[in-house]
Amino acid sequence: MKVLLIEDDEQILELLKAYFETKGHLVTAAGDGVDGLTQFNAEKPELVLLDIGLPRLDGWEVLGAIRAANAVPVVLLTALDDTESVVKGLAMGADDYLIKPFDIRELDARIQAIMRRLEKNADPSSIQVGRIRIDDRSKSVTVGKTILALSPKEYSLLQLLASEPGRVFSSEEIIAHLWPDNSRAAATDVKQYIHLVRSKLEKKARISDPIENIKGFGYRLIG
Amino acid sequence: MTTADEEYSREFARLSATFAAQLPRQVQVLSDDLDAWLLAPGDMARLDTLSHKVHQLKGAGGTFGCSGVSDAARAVEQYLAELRGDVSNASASAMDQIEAAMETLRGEANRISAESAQGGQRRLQT
Repeated sequence: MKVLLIEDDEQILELLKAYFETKGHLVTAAGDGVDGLTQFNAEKPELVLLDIGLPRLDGWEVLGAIRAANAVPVVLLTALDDTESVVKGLAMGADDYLIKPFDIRELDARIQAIMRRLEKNADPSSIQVGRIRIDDRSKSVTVGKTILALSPKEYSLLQLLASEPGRVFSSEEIIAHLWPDNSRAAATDVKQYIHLVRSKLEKKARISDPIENIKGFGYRLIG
Repeated sequence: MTTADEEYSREFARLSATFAAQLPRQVQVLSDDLDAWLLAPGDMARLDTLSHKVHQLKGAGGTFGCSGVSDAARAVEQYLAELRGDVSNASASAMDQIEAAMETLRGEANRISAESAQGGQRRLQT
């Protein structure tokens, strides 16, 4: 799991990094709110641990910006222990609020609980990757409020790439998915459909470089 | 216990020892900052910085297993908040209270640092 830690206390940051890294997670760290938001946009984390008393841009501002973008789980981790702050944090959309000092085992248990809730509530017929939402029941793709008109093959290609964001799919895998009965399809056909989907995502939805070409290996959707 | 748990326990012990070793110096900096602010109580930027450092120590102390540090830092933070509004009219008892809280913090820092160093010595000897 990609975890973003936004925390200005270096000692706490180091502790959290050690914990998440030993658990095998991919950790990105930021020491202030501005850097935190930059890392958030660049790394597309699956979990954010956010302090409130941050330099340059406080945690409230960061939380507001994150919630305006998407619904990634956010745990507030702060020494602000008054009820008003707890209520404000949860009302602003934080998934949990843990007061420092904290026991790392409690933090871990709370994160596990959030993840279990998300898995339980996840709709298997829809996929969300960044701002891209694919609803397989209505065969529709939306990016924010923009509806993308895709042909069945384009839809199928995007659905395949979105099934595992970041994973590289080879041309052979894509051919097997898009043309299961047609052995004459070739890498040039894949290239053409990649171009069509990429173009629609870039022009209609204004997502820059949504599909990356990993030369010699294949293509992947950037979440 | 899994390998990851063991690895984290080692890291936690290392980070806690570092935290303990730095604690007296960290508290000394707070004490110096407090003295400097009391000489110029109108300097709100200095007070903000001081309050933030105390706030961080409150959060970090118990997280590294030093709940006494968190408790003492919490008391200092509270007194600073009370003084923030009207330091010029602060009573002598208010100043005494903050000094006492700082003294408790200093005592905790020295005790923890010494215990941690002794623990390290014992580990080296065994």
